[in-house]
Amino acid sequence: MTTNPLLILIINMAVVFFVLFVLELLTRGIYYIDPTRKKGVATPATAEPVANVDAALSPSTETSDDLAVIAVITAAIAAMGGSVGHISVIRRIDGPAWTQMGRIDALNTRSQMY
Amino acid sequence: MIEAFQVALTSVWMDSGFVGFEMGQGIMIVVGLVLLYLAFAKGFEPLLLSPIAFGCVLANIPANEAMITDPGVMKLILAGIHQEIFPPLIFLGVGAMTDFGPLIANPSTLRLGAAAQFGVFIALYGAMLLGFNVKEAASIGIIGGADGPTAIYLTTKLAPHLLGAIAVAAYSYMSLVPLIQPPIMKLFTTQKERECVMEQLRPVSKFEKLVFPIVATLFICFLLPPITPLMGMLMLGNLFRESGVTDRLSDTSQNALINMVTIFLATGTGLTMDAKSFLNLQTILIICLGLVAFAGGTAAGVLVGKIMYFTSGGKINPLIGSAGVSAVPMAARVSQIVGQQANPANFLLMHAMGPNVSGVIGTAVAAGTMLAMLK
Repeated sequence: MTTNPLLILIINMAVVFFVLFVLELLTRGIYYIDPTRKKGVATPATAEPVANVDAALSPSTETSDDLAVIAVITAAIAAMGGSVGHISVIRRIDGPAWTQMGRIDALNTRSQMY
Repeated sequence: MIEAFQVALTSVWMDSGFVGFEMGQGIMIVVGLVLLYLAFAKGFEPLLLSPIAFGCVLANIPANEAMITDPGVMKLILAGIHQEIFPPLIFLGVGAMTDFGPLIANPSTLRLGAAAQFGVFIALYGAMLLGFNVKEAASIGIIGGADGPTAIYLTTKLAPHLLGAIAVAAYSYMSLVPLIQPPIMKLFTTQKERECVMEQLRPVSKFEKLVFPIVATLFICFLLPPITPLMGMLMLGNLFRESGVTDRLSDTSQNALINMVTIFLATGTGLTMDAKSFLNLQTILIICLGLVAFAGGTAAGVLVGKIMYFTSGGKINPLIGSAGVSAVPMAARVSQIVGQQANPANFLLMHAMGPNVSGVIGTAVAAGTMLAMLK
């Protein structure tokens, strides 16, 4: 074991750089072997939402309220770190979906917790 | 009867802490109270600093050696630190809270996480020049990684007698990131560089988010087995988060578990701050070297960021380099704030999260390298 501080500094920095550089290469490798990559990349970054907003703006559909809802949902997804480029459609779900989800979650959680 | 009463009272008094009280303990109790004030009134990392501060007060109550030596909760807490149980559990929670997406989207930011470890080794070098032995110097240097659990993990293995000073220095400087980093970032960058707007990151697939922690764990742990507990728990927590089928485990890891372990770890750290081991010149030197480590790491990150700015043709803002010191997500927020001061249309937060989380990995790798060399 060396006690030369300069040697320790050089060896350790070299090892840290080597490890993180190899990790960088591995990360790039993961991207290339990703079997789902083509689907993800094929989606245009911004074309879809613009088209949908345009559709919402069209006079033939019910208008201003929906546009505001679309804007709010888009902003919320963006704020949570999601990519707004992937919103292809926003569709209303009939029925008390949130209540039902809450019940299912509570049942699942509590039945396993105790 | 009165005589018996007097004997009992005398016995209580003689056994009390007032009789064995020493000036050093008084000073450390005041230090604990000042830290409590900073935590509660000034908001300096209150979740960490308040249990550390109160642990410090408890450790300096006279004649309470039994609190630490006899079986009980305090002994258990200290065992959790000395047996290196708590830091990996904290890493489990950190992993569950960490989004490696920005890092996976732009893997070149791993170089910034590596560069910021330069501060660790500069402080190690300085500590050895000041007379610390190599194991103590390595423990002091790791303060520059701005990663409390890793600092505690490494110090417990290499220099346990310095644990209190190093933990306090690490957490104090982490809370001071918004004050320490901006002047250094501005010193090493031009206005034009700070104004650089980075392109939006590409979307990262679920496949990449799942495979990355597995590949990183296998590669790093095979190469540096001493940090398997840290790296393994970090990536396990991240798998809980990204798998999408272990929401309850992810939720527990990043909320209840990490909160509980933080209480134990921070209180236990405070319990190591007794007057005898804390009130000495070494502590002052450690605090100073910690600042050197922190500043050195920030400067190195920014300088390598500058190199990447030039080599990428001005596509990478060098300010994100400072986030290479861990301190997640505070250091990334500082990059965002300084970037926006230069250009209000600049949104560097997600870009800075790449080097920020790679800094966590980098600090653990630095710790593993030192453990492999010095243990």
